[in-house]
Amino acid sequence: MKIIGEDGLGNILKKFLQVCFVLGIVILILLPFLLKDFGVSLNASFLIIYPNGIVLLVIVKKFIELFRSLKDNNPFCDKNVKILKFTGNSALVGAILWLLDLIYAIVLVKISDIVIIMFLAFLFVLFLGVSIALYILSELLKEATEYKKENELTI
Amino acid sequence: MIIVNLDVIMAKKKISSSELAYKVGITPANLSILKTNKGKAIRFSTLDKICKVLNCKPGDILEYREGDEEND
Repeated sequence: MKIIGEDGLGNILKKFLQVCFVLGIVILILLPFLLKDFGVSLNASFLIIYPNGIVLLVIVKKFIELFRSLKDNNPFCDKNVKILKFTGNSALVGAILWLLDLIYAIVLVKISDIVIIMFLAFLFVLFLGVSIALYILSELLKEATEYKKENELTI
Repeated sequence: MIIVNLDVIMAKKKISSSELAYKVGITPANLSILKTNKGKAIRFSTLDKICKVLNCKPGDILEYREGDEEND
């Protein structure tokens, strides 16, 4: 399957992420009203969704830029290395936010529901894992970009 | 670091960049990269062709200069 180019998988993913980006903004705006309909109060634990939602939107926006370069047949460039590093840092911020929420849930609110605690711990580990993975990928892409430059400058 | 003295040899042999590029079989842009010492490496095949066209030795084109740091 073709990945790079106008009709490649990268371009299809880019369009999908653009839809996700718009839906994410709409959900974040409508969240208080939706929670009200379900009879859930917007407490401090729920408020963590907002900064995390913004972090996720930033990650999606950066991935749209990344997939745009796939469409333009130029995946190995310094810009993409910066994008991956930035998204890795964003995911780390997300992980810290979920950790804070986990600590808040255990220490201050004293939630005894193991499912909620496990869910928050899972989100923390997930974001931390994604952050590390993106950082490693950015380093790999940096190496690949260097090799590409070297190859281009071999006459 | 390695210095490419291609422009000196070209001047001696009275050959233009476009003519040399055509005869060697590389683009004028790539020849310019070589001349301005921006290249990272040179293939033996390219060096061979340049030497053939300019009727010179690799040592005439490439020079090792001690003490200069390579700018990456």
